[in-house]
Amino acid sequence: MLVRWMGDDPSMTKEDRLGIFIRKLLSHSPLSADDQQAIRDLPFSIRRLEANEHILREGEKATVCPVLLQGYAYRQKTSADGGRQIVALKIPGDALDFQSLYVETADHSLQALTPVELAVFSIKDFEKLVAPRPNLARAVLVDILIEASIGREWLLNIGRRNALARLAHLLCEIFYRVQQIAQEDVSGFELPLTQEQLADLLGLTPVHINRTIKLLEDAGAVRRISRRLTIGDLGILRQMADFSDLYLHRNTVSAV
Amino acid sequence: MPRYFFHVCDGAQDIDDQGHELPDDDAARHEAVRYGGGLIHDDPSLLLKDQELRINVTNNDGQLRFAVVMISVDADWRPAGTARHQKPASGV
Repeated sequence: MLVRWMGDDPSMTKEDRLGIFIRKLLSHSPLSADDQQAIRDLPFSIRRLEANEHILREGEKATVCPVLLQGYAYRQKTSADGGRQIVALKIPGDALDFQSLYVETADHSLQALTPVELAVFSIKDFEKLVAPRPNLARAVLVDILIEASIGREWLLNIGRRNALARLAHLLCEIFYRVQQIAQEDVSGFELPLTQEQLADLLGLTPVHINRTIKLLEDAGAVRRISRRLTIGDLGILRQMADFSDLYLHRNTVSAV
Repeated sequence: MPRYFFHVCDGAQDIDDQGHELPDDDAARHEAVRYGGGLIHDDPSLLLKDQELRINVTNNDGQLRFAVVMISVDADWRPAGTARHQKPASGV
């Protein structure tokens, strides 16, 4: 299936493909035309990975700075008894490892959730790009801050919301994030996570996830197409989750 | 892997028609206890009104393999050897 906003457009050049990354940065930080061009001029390679392949492993030292052009990825950590927690979800346009520009060793693993396409910069090139450009450096910082803000919201979600509100809240977040980067109607988009992955993200058992999806379905909030979820009624979902998008810090800066 | 179905009975019956694949009965029992714990964590009132929460776990043939029952009861109990209004001795 062609998803044009993710770059499935044969007329696009390799450099055009970076548009989604620049759009992502512009969604929270103003950048001059010169800064934007500097990103486009940076050398990079395109790398394709299958679902579940590792992008970076805990304990490794990153030498590259990958940006997600297409597909979804996640950060995960595991406990000694094998329990897995998905601690972040990355969507197209997201830089996957700005952290490694500043700290040396990966403290979590980064994996492809779906088949992905990455733009891979050298971390040294990216450091050299950012160093003399304060607005770009600021954009990198803001990107990291927003991911931290999302992490705080997830902590509240997992620690204090009941299963129904917890799942509804995550679905609202994914919808808002995807809608913002896609810049087109994505109401029919299919959630990229399986029930097992939702369980590992939300700290619930897969059985509990299944029951909660049924409750959301009965309320008309979601629809199930084969085994994938789509949004049925965003208004109902927002109400169930008591969702506010403040923590996503969307459109809070004006363009240069 | 065998498929297990987790039906929730808390006055109403919530029938699981999807089921989940798990290695064996032990894994399914483990899952059922965690599931019940999750449901009660979400809504403690499930057990507050003289109600019980029961999770019936069936296999692919529809046979009941086991049930996890969670219940709260009113009772008149105190540690042995203590009188009414007397706290248990420390270190017991």
